Amino acid sequence: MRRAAPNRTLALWLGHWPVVAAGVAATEPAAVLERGRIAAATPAALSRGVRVGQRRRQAHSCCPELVTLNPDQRREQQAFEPVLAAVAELTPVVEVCVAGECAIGVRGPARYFGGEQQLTGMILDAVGGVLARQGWPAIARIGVANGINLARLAARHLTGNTHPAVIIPPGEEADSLAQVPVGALGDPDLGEVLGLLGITTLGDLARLEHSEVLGRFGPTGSTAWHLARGIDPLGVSPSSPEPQFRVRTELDPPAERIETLAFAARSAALELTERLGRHARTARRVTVTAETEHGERNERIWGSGSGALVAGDPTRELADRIRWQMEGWLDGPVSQRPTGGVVLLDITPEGLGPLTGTQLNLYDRPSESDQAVSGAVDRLEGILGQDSVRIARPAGGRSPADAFTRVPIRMPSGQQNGPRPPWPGAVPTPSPALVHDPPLPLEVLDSHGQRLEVRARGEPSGVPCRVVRDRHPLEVVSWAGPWPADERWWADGRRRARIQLVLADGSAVLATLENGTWSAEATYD
Amino acid sequence: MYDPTGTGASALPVGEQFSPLLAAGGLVRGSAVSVSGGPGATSLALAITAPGTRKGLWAGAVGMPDLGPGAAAELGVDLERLLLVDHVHHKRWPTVIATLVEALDVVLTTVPAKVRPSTGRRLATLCRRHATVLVTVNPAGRSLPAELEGFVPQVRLRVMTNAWEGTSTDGHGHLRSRTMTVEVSGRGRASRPTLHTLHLPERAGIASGAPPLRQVV
Repeated sequence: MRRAAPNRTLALWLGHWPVVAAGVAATEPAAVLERGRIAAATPAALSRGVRVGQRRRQAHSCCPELVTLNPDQRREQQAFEPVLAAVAELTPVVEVCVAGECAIGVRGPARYFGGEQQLTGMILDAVGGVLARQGWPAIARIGVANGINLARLAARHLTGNTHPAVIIPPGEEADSLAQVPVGALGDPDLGEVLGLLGITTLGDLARLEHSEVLGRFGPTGSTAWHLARGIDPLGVSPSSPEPQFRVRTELDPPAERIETLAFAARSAALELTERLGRHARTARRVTVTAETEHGERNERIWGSGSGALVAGDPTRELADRIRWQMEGWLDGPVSQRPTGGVVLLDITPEGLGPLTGTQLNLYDRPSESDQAVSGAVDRLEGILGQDSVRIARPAGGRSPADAFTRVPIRMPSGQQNGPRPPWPGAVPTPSPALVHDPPLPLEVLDSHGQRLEVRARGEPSGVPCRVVRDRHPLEVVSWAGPWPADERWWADGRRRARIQLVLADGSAVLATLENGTWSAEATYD
Repeated sequence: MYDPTGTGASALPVGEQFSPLLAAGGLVRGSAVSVSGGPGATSLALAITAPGTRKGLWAGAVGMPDLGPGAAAELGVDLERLLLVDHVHHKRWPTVIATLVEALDVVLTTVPAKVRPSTGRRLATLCRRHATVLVTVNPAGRSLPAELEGFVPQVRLRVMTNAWEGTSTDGHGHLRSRTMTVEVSGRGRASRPTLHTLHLPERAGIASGAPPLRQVV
């Protein structure tokens, strides 16, 4: 048997896990809602037309008796522990991406059990047994590929009821995944823009040149392109542990109670976050190992596929995960339970990267902080009225007031996420920090004390010397412009001219002349 | 309950240019920061909030209806992570701030004229409990309280001078960049005021740390 690549990974995916974890029977029509949309549903609900991604109202219209539930990260992780325990019987190191999904390195276990087919079969049986005891059908799906992200894509998109496991021969990942839609990569904005360019599947993406994709979409696009080409260097075994960031906590006396362990977990998580923060680094994965006084070990990798460990508050999320891992160990199957107290807690991050912005997420679960924000928005809308909480999105237009628009936060981000087209006649960046809508009264006077005018060709009638704002006169120190703008000349028409003015008190203002009257459209605060 | 205050408090990132100004190297979670002084306060407040939003943290701006999203984006704010609650009656202001403090990581706000010290103390407790940073801003042209009575700021940033470059005496050019001096004072190691010179926005037109993709916009 040819030696498997070090990144050969088996990904296990349990569809609709949030609803399973809630303890709902498969025959009851129920669904878990996240941010107003269906995230998971029971087979009974699915058979009545409920679909993931639907809004609550839509779902109720095809299934009026649908019971809706809130997500609960803790409940989902705790319910997942028995499944993890079953997998851990076959291989000691498991990486958990999110409750309902995990991954293991294939090399060792496949050799031990006599092949990838055998290993896959054993995991399906073991997990199936755990699920059957809860009264659930076999929802386990497995993908095996060279790379954890490719394996997860395979588990989610290449499997089905009749073939719950797919093993992609090494090197054939690109071909096998070519029909998977780009939306599967978990980045809706990237998927949206790619879709507008006519690139709907991974196969389409793979046919582009890397330099084009990198230039247009940056590192996010580059990662997506590599996956589309079947290149995914990430496996489960730690590829680049960073010893200098490791946090080792010795517990003396040995800890036997979960509260003691939880406290140690919090301190250790905080220490790790600070160490990483001081070097402006983020970790893709964290390996958490606990050892007892009798030498028993429990090890798990907490990761999120290709993205950085967590958004929101990394310390609390990591501390929670360590706690769940310890709870699962202490309360798990008797055969795996420790016989002594924990004396050592070791946290080692790996896959360090710079603290940059968004990275690809292969799962689309919002973090707990996203859910908290959603709850706060609901409460505020109850107090202040609907649509009182907004977010700014690029619109189109020359004036600072038109360039962006405030939309209610619940509106999905739409077409506006590509680069904005240039608007001829717009005032150059930097943009003003304060935009006055409606504009504030302002008078602009020339050296003779007369109102400054801008002639037809965009020439000023003189030099702006003074402005009057709130009845206070202020000297103009320097200025720039005018920028004439002839907007909608084919319709009602708005002819405006703008100038930038730096005033004696250090402030700078964008003044606009329209219909013979000046006003302050914006202030460069 | 998550309680990060104390010597081990974690701090929100503020980017290379501003990190040296702050004793903790960032915005201490659970604390208040006041940004005031002359013109430039809004940009300064946005610039120190921006790096957090790019790291996935949530921010909100209350009572700042004139806040310019273009400037915010150019200073590096992820607009999809900045909630805007523009118009709040001063009687509702404490409830709105309390609701946001519980869920967000940073809350920027103007301070209404009639806020009682007891409200300030209550918000201080909430911020500590939820590890939220409250940034009180006094934008140019509005004379509002710079800070909240009852919630003493950990750091006070006061814009002392503000000089734009790029314009001229005959209309050529355009506003390009600005040099400002900021006085930093506050509690602890920062108790003696220090003066710092900053460029905001920087000469390239984009504050340090903004992700390259934004330049296309």
